Parts: sequence; structure tokens; C-alpha cells
Amino acid sequence: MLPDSLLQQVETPARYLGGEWNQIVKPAGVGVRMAICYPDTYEVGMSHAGLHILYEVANRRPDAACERVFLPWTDAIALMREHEIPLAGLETRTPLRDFDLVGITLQHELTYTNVLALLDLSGIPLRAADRTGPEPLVVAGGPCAFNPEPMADFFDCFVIGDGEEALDELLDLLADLPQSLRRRADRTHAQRRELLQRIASLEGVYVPSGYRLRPSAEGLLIPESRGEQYPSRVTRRVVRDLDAQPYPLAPVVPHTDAIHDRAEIEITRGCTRGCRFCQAGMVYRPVRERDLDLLVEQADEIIRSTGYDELSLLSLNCPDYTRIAPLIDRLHERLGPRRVSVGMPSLRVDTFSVGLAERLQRVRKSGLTLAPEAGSQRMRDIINKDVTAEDLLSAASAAFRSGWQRLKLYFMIGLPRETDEDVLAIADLIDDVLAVARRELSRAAYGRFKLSASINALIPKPHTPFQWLGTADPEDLQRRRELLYGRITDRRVSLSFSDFDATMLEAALARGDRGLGDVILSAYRAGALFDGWGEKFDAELWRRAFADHDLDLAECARQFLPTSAELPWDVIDAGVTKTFLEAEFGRARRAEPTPDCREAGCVGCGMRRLVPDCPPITWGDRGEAT
Amino acid sequence: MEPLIRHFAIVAFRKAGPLRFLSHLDLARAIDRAVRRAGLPVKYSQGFNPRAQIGFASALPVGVAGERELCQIELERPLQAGDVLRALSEQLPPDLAVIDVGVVSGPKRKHLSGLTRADYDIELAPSAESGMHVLAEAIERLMDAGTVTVLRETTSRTREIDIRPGIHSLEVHESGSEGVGPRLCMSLALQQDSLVKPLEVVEAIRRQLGDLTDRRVDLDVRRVTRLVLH
Ligand code: SF4
Repeated sequence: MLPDSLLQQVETPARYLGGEWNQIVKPAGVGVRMAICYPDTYEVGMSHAGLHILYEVANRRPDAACERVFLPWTDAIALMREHEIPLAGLETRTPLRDFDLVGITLQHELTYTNVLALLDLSGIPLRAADRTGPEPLVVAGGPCAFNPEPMADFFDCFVIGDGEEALDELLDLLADLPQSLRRRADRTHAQRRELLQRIASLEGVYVPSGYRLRPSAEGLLIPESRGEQYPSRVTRRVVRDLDAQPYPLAPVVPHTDAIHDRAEIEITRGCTRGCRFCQAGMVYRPVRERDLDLLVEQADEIIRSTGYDELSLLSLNCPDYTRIAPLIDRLHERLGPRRVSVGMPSLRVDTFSVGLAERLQRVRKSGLTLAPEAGSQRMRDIINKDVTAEDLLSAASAAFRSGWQRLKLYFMIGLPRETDEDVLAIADLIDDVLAVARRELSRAAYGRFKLSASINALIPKPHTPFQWLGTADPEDLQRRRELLYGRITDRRVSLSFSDFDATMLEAALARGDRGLGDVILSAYRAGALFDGWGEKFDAELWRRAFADHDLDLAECARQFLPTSAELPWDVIDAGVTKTFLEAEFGRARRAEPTPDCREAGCVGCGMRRLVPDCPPITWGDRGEAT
Repeated sequence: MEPLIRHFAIVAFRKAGPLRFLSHLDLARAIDRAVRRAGLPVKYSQGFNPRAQIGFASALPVGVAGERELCQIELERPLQAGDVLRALSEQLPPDLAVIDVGVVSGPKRKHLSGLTRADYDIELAPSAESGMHVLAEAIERLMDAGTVTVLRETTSRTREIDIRPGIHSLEVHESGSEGVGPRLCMSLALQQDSLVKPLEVVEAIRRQLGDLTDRRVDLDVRRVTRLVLH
């Protein structure tokens, strides 16, 4: 993409080279040409399992070719602009604007300006309405597609939910187009519209141009179908059988230190623990698993084809895999002799999980991470986090006894109905963990002991029981932060808080309507980019961008909506029903927990409409294994 | 006590094409993974975080190509050099191709530490062709000088060093073909205490040129290649 003379001038040129091990290069002239783009740096994007999965889905087809595209870092962007070099695929250096399909994954809201930069650097008009002929179809996917509205101006369509089958169907459609729609080069505006209409007929695909906007009673813009070709609600795609899905057994090995530079196998998808703040736990239901023998074979093959020395188990909740202990043992047995370490990124707060971690880290005891999420039991009941203080303390005690000397805890503040006492309960819990550490660790080890607590403000997300809530007042958040700083003085404990300005922006974008498209564009034009990168984030610039469109950023973030309100993302049927979410919201107010349906039986979330035999897995399936 | 016999594969390989922009760390990781994919019986370090015992003769800076770089891989048991060559070749891209492999056994642990010099070839922009005679004179002066100081930046500080003792030879050659600039050929010290970097030599020549003429002679570096390690 960059000529040698420019590669010499940028930080980490390895980001721009392509030609990695296991890269797939298809000959020119292969049917449908697709680019899969991650709107962040190479190191971040190459760590994303979904990207590797879709690369595999597309490239295993003889009639499709898929290339990878990442957003260059700011130094390279400046050079590309200066020398008028367009963004191109890593595999064949084909400019992005010459692809048939440009897929961009939306992993979180603070990448929205990066999406605009990707299009801009490619010379693709930013607004879908300005793409009137041969330009590629620009498609979004990923969790943020569950509220497509804020970015709806910039995408031709959104794929909602699991991408494997939907992408296959989209590629089928493009590969089998009638002659008149096929040739991209001389496609007319009318033909492009016809193409989009056909795409709208695919299950799980939302085509924003097929919906007109109507203001709701609360002043939100609500999309409404323009005609019967466009479904009044788009239903999320659910893959029933993970084992039947393609999985990359020879993934591209990044040239340079990716964030997660390791092999990954996806053991489960979805989670029904039912934490009320968690979007993934609502929109990826039910829990589906891969077969144990298949996983061991996949792991073996990936290690063989990549040469990685580390394997990570991918899941929203690893210990929930019904046969997790035998899986870990089998992986150790198979990969241990080849000196591959096996890791598990997500742990539950219980001794069983610590026992698993112990199995995994037989030698090296790096830090252990646990997420009690809130300090007081009342708060944990409100958010439906099925963890007690005793669970945490016995998990910590088990961890210290097995030799861990570093612990990381995740908490949230700004939760609904939270009082100062609830926040101070975080400090009490940390004190209790310290007391356990003092008891369990030797004097010397306690001297070295480190506890870090990472404290984030709640960001209410669409399709969760908290979707009607706004964020807490930033001043309250700051005051509570000071409260904790005042109470926690032990030098063993380090506190870190999320940036509350970034929190407000993420919240405003998460629950936004289509009106935010103009705001995002203004912010991008004013220089916003890499907003998720701390040092690049400019809160004042964003406040101005909102103000330029007569909006107040903080008010948008804090806006409270009645449960009767029409919501911009009602157009998406995520599987869980609004009735269920509302009931859950009510139970939250009464601090009533809701059990996991794998344990207690169906709690009526609405998924049975899509998966009649839900839940496919129950605790009964654990059998003797655990 | 009998000295412990160790077995090493000494591997000569290229770092060429776009992959010359890999950092040394990235290159080391690429070789490590290739070795793992090849399934070679490699020795691992002891301890919590066992690493394959692979050592490099000298790190190449980002962007510098290598015609014949060297690394040593400690093996669990002696293997046929041809088998190592074949196994590794299948697992490396053409830009990191293996050139040859030797397998040695003995008590020695470091087979690459005796290297003292490296030869470099620097391709300049074609515009330098017009200033060939001044360039030649600048090089002559530089080689005649008792000391040649340049500034070297490390992460912590910048200091002045004399690179003259580390320049074993330095010549300029016309390329002879249209559109290709002249080349600087040099042989430079490799050991820690007298190490000289090729671009430092270019910088020193630039300074000599400044003293010789007010006319600008472009020393635009197109490509740096390390030819061989001695
Ligand atoms: S439909 Fe019932 S069983 Fe299925 S995920 Fe929802 S609550 Fe669980």
C-alpha cells in the first residue's frame, strides 16, 4: 500500500506489508471480491476472532476472494493523504473502492469516526446516499449493528447477529446476480437501488435506505419501512449448530505483535447468566457449544498451521462450557508436549473457576482477573450479577493458596439506584480481599501483593434491561471516584477509572438515533479519530460537534426514556423481547435476581421464537464431568 | 567431567522484499514460529516461560535487507543439515528463504559471536550519479581522516562517537545502468565496542560533501542491504 520510501518513515511499517503466513491470495477475476475491514490498527484488528472467521467463510468459496483492511495509524494516514495513496487490501493491494463488498465490523461506538476515515481514505463517498453507481456495497456487522441508526447514513446495509450464514447468503446473492446488475463498473443508480432491495430480502439484513424516519413522542427518529420489501423488523441471525460452521484452522499469523497474538478456539457462543447491563449476554442468546473432540482437533490443527505457542479459549464465560475440565485436560495432554500454554480470558467469580485457572497455569502464576462488578449485594442483585461477597472471598482465598500474588477486580459505578454506601461497599470488599490475602499469603508475599481495581461507569446499551436508562451524572461519577480514592489508601491497591467523558460519548452514541449521523460526520471533519485510544480522544471537540447540531452530549447520554417509548433500535429484533427486557427492568428496580435458564428452566426471554427447543444446553448436560 | 555436547543448526537466510520492514523482534518471532511449525526438535530454556533456543548473529534495523543473515538453533539431537533445510524452507515465505544450513556438535554454546564485520551495499538515488567525482573525493578524505565523529542516539541519550576505526573499507561504484543510482559499498565493524551503522557512514559522507562544495549532491538512500557477515 505504501511505497518503500514512505514505509521507511512510519512507525511499525509491518502493519502495512501483508504477505503474512497463511494469507490467502486469490487470482484476479475471481467472482465476488470482498474486503473485511477492522476500523482500528492492524494490531487490534488482527486480534479479533470474528475477522478471521469471516475471512475463512468468504475465502473457502471458490467464487469469492476476501482481503483484509485495517485503519492505518495517523502517521501513515497523513502520508497517504499527502501522496494521494488510496487505502487498499493487504492481499493484492487492490484499492478498497474497487471491491464489490466492503464489510466493516462495528465492535464499539468509539470506532465510528475510524469507519469514516476508512471510507474517506478509499475515496468512497461517506454517505450511502451519495454512492449512486459503481461504488462497493458497504456493509456493517458486529455488536453495534444492534442499534444501526447512528451509523445508518454511512452503510448500505447491516448484518445483524451471527455472521457466518448471513455472509454466505450475501455472497450467494452477489455471485448469482442477473447480468444487468452484475457489472459494477457501469451500474446505474436505479440498478444499485434494485440490488439493495434484493439484499433487504435476506434474513437478518437491514437496509436503512428502505426506511423513512418519523419522530417519536420523545423526539427520537424512528425508522419505518417504506414498503413490503423492507421488513418492519429485522430479525437477528442465529447460528444453531456451531460445529457445522466454518472455523479458520489456518488463520493469518500477524507480522507484528497483535494485542492477542495467539491461537484461539471458540468453545461457546452466547451467555444466559442474564447480567442486566451486558449487551452480549442479551443479544447472543442462547448458549451454544462446540463438541469437545472437535475443539481438540481444531486446536491441534491451528497450532500446527501457525506455530503459536499459546492457545486461548474464546467464550463469554469459559467455565460455563459443560465439559470445561475435561477439555482443559485434553488440550494439555495434546499440546503440553509441544510447549503450548492454554489460557482462558474470562473467569467466573467462584472457586471452581479458580480451580480451572489453577489447572491452566500450573507453573506461571501471572495475575488473576475476577469481576464482582459491584460492591454491595443490593447492587449485584439489581444488575443480576450472580455473585456474593463470600464467592469472591473464597475465590480469592483459593487463588492465594495456589500461589497467585496479583489480583485484578472489575467494578462498575453509576448503576441504577446506586447510593454512596453502595460505592463505598467496593472499598469494603477490597478491604476484605486484602484481609484474605494477609491471612493466606506469607509475610513476604503479602509485602509484594498487588491488587488492581478497574472501575468503569455503566453505559446503558440497547436491547438490555437498562436500555431506557441514561448514564449517571458526570459530577456524581466524579464525586464517587473521589470517595473511593479517599477510602482506599493501602499502597497495595491501585485504582483505575474509565474516562467519564469517553463514557458519556459512548453512551450517547450507543442509544442514539439517525440524527447522530451528522454529529459523527462533523466530529470526523473536525479531526476526531481513534476516539477509543485515550490520548487521541478530544471531549471538547465532540461536545462542539453535538452543539453544532443543537444537541447536548451529556443530555443525550443521560436521557431517561419511559418504557412506553418507541426506540430507534426497535426495528431490530434481537431475539430477546421488549416485554422480557421491561420485566427484567422491573425486577432490577425491586432488586430481584433472575436465574440462568440453563439451571432454572426457561425464563421467557423470547428466544424460543427463533430457537424452538431453547435452551439447547442445560446444567444437566454437565453430567459427571465437573 | 565430560563437557556437555550441544547440537546446533546454523541457518543462513534472507530478509528481503517487503519483509525487510519487519523489526528484529518480529523477525525473531517469525523464525520461532517457522521452527515450531517445522516440528524440529529444538531445545527450550528452563523456567516458567520456556523459550526455543534461537539466537541471531546481529539484529538488522527495520527496512534494511539481508542477503545472508545468520541464526543458530539449538537442537535436542544432531540432525542432517539437509533435513533441517528442507523442513524450515517449507515453513518460511520466499522473502525469508533459507539459503543453507550447517549442523555442528560440540561443547561450544555460541557459534555466531566471533563475527566481526559486515558488508553493506547502499543504493543511492540516480541523481547522485552527477556528483560522482565529488563523492569519490569525499570518501577519500573520510578514509584519510584520523577521526570521524557522528552523533548516536540511544533511548536515553545522544553522544558523539568516532566511527573511523570501525570503517574497514568504503567505496562508491557507478551503477552503469539507466535509472539506477550509484552504490556505496562498505565493510563495517560489528562488535559492540566499535560497531558502525551504515547510515552513520552516509551521514559522515554528507558532512564531507558539505565541506567540499556548495553544490548540493543528493545522497538520497534508496535501499540498504547487508550482504554478508564475517
Ligand atoms: S428462550 Fe428461555 S431458554 Fe432460551 S435463552 Fe431465553 S430464557 Fe433461556
